[in-house]
Amino acid sequence: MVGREVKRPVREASQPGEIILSAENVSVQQGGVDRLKAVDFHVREGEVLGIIGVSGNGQATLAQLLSGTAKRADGAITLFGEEVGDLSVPEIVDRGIGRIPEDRNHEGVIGEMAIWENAVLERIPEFSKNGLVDRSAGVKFADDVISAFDVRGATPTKRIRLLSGGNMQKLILGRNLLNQPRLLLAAQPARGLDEGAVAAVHERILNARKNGTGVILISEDLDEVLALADRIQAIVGGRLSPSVDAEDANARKMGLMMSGEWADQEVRDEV
Amino acid sequence: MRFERRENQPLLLIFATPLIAVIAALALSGVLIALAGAPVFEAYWNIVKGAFGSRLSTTETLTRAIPLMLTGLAAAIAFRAKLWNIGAEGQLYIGAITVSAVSSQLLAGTPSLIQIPVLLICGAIAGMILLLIPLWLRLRFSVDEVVTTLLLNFVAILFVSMLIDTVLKDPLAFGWPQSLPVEDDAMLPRILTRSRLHIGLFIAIALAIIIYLIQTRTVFGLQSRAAGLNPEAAVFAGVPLGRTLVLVAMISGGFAGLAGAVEVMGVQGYVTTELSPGFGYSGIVVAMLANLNPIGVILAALFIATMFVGADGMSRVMEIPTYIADVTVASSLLSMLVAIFFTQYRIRR
Repeated sequence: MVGREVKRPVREASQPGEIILSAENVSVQQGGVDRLKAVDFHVREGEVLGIIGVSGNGQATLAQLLSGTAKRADGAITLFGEEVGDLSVPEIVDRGIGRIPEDRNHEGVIGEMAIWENAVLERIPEFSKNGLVDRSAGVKFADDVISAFDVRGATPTKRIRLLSGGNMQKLILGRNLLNQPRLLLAAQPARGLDEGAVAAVHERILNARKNGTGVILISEDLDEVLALADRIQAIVGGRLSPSVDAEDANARKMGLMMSGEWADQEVRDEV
Repeated sequence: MRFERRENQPLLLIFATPLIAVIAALALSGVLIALAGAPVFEAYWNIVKGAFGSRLSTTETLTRAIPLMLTGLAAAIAFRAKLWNIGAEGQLYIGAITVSAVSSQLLAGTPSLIQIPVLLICGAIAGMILLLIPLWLRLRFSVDEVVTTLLLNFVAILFVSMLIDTVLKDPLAFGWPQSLPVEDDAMLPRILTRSRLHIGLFIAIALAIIIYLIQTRTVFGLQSRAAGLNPEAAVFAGVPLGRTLVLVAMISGGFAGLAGAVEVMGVQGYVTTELSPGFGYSGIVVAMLANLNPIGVILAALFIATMFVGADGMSRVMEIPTYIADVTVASSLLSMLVAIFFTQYRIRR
């Protein structure tokens, strides 16, 4: 497919650090519907938490909540040891949380804008002074991302829609990972990419993990989750299963988790 | 045959687009002139002479371009953020009547130095408010602003028509429906004597340059462009969508209101329902011809003003109705839309 042997990177054993994010009893309503129902989860430094599930069970809402575009109805979130309210996007970015959106083309980039503008838009406070955009700093940042993350065929002033999906995703990863985030939210990070780009994205995520970044990986790709995650939870009908160590997981076990076998009969009937 | 998206828009094409559109529009109108039995090139020569043939006609053309620049900027700013403000005509009238009311009722006897800036700001604020209502409806209830802004034009003009026939009616106007005049001290200084050309020209050009700088240099400019191009991605990147659109609407509506204020204070001195020969609608053509570029708005406004003033002159010496200017302006909008399409796509067999 890509003209060379592609090896997917392998997760090395590691010792996760302190808990950096924990959510207790968190619920979210959207349009009058309960999308997340009293979910509990946490993630530690240098650990990947994989969240699996069939599409439409609340993954998008969970990603929006962690990205700062959805609000909680209930529950508590503790971030870096401090209980927080609903944070806005700039607050989240400012606290060193990287975000990879589920849909690159609709949420991740603005096709008609230059690559450098796409690189700095979400961190504009860093790249502006008194309301004026610091273009040269932005172009330099984009240049750094392009070279550090091997974004092919890119120059900072080129419009981003001219990049391939894989290179676009590398840019999105790069703008989040270049400055070592403490927490990375990755929603379907390798969806729709070719094998070579998938391997590159996985390698970057594992690298971030090695450097102590906590990662929440929301994915429908079970192989991806098995390869990257240390622990796995399934999302079913807006509820999260208890967490299972990746070592104990396999395709069959994950299938059962995604069907809600862990839940009460009452919950399963709902699903 | 199919259309394929161009990888890159050649720079030359971006500059050539409006020129090609204008030439195409002139060619189309030329056919009509020929059908009317008149010599085409002579007709166009007479338009140029009518617009720039004398000191008077040149200053008239420039005077006519002033409100077009302001309404053109109003449309260009809004359209760039995908806020479809079709209501510049109504905002212009509301700005104009506000100036007449404030000057005659509240500021009588105030010196120029205070009165002129206060009135300009009042006119702009009135235009802003008229656009903030449709924007609120859009943000709160997802009501399409194309419809609301367009229909508010009629509401605004009829409201003005009511005012100038009742509370703001000038008793010295021999019964004509005409507003109380603004104070003499409120009239904008003229640039040249023996002409109607006023300092509104400098105001409009300065505002175009300021808007250009805002759009290219500031965080607000970047965010409003992002909001227009891809609102979902803008929200994901933390752009405050509502706040950005409110600011865009304030500038857009403000400029349209200012156009009305400037027209009253620079040219007519009072408000009638004939104050604007469609400046608000022509502003949309100006903005599109300028490809929404604020500096381009200056040139596009001059072109439209040339057509209108020139066609007046031409119709006096040739037997072609002035409506040909409307045809040319309208077809230049259509050909510009086609031309813009071809800067983004190419034909593949």
